[in-house]
Amino acid sequence: MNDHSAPGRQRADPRLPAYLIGGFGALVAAITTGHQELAALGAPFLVLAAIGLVRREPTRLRGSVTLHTDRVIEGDVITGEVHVDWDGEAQVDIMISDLRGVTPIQPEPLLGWSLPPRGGPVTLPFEVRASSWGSHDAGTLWVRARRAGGLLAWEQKLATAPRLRVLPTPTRLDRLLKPAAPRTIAGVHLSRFRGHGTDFAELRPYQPGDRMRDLSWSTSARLGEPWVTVHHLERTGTVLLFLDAFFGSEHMSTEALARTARAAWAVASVHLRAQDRVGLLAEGRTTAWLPPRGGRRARWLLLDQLLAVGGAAEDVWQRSHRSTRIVVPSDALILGVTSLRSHAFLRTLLHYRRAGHTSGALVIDTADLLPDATDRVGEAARRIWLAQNDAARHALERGGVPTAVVASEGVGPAIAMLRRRMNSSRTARPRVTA
Amino acid sequence: MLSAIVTGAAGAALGGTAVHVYVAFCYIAVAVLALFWPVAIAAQVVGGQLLVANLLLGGDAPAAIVLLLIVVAVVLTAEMLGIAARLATPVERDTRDDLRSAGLAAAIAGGVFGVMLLVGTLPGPAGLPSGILAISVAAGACVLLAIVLVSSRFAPHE
Repeated sequence: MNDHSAPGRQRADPRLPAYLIGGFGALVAAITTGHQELAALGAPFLVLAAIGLVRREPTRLRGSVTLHTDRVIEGDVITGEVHVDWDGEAQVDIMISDLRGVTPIQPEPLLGWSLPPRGGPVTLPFEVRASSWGSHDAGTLWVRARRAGGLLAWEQKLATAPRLRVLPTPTRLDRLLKPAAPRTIAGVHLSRFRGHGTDFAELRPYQPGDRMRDLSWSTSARLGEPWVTVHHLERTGTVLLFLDAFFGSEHMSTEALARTARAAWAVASVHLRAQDRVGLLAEGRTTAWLPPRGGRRARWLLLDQLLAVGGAAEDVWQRSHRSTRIVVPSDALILGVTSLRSHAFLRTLLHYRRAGHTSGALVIDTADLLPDATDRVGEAARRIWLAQNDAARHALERGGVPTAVVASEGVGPAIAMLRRRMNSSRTARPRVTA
Repeated sequence: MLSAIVTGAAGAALGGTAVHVYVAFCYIAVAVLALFWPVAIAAQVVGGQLLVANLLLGGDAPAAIVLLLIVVAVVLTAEMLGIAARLATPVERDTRDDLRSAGLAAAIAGGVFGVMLLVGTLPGPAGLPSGILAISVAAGACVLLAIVLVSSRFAPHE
């Protein structure tokens, strides 16, 4: 809850200058022309202006906004209260403006109340729906008070609503990408190295130094000489999510970013559960850098960074620039998550591939967000847009970055496809650099 | 808007000249403009005054009660336009109090105008010309209003 009472701004009703101009003008005309009828014509307006100014004492306003929760999931309903108090009797208009990340439910279409002349305080309940993920300032409380029949009003920004963290909708995902070189902490990835693990790798003749427990008794009995079972090491990998945060202020852009973040969050969650180390790098209008790390703390840090990116998407004025140096671990699998809107992003992803990192890209399909083509020009524009997307994808593929499209079926099929393509191209060298 | 159209039509019909018709037309046009741009309420009030002044100062002035009704209609239109300006938000609003105060303002304006017309017909004191009393009363009200305005501007705010 945020509560403050800065001095209000005094605003005149549009009738006040009208009555003053009418009254004074008629009086001046009466004096200059000597027609007393004109004085009679101006007098009513002067009287109305005087009545409107009789109760001109400033109204001291106080108020606050309370949300009953500050952490929700996209689509959840949030309840809250506005509390406003003022001196004496006044006609009061209350509004919460600059709503970010939420949509009014009650009252609608905006969070506003107009109260008849009465004394304070009042407590007004409201309901909003969390519409877009991110960390948002939920709005600003504005109050305008006017004495009954008065021609002056006091308008004041009273409070800002508490910060709201809208978490992305959970996405079910049960497939993992295979990191380039798994690490030594126990995880679920099958290592290319062999050692003490539980997954079978091969059988080979006994060598001095092998553990007795690794002897395969059945094979040794069959072949007449000692053979040992060799297992894969179980180790974790490093995944760096590279988020395309180049976006504009239009709805399509913010929705594309939301889809990008949902996909990134789904991939990150499942890799963190598998004990992988996950990092985040966002490039674009807003930037974010979280070095790869694992565990529960990494999950929260990652979510915080993603929410900050989401908040920036809702706030068109927000710009952030990274000042810390990025050090991408050499063994990290770099997974670009992009809607292919930015050439700069694609160049950076190809740069990482050329630098020797195992890379892949999840391409977020946003074709359904395009406006319907109503004429031939619109249809042509749509086809050009789709062709540009295809060209961008092929540029990535030619540069050695396998891609998979995240369509309406969700992230799962795309991850499966990307996994297959990365397996087949893991040994291939990039042919062309775009 | 209906009151603006009726007022304009009545003014044009009572005047009966091209000037009256032109002023009435301008008055209605300005009233329509003020519906979308509240600052134009000042022009609507001045237009209404011009309409009444033309009738008042014309050779064949209509009955005082007709003029009074036109002044009431001009004030009522200005009040309604003020309410419309406040209603120009999607916030749900109960306008009963606003309509009540608009009616009260129109009644006050009519009463003041009638009283001033009466005062204007009284002979001036100490041999001064008739009507000087009305101008004096209006000028006095004007000075009082100016004092109120100036004192409110410089009043210490809490």
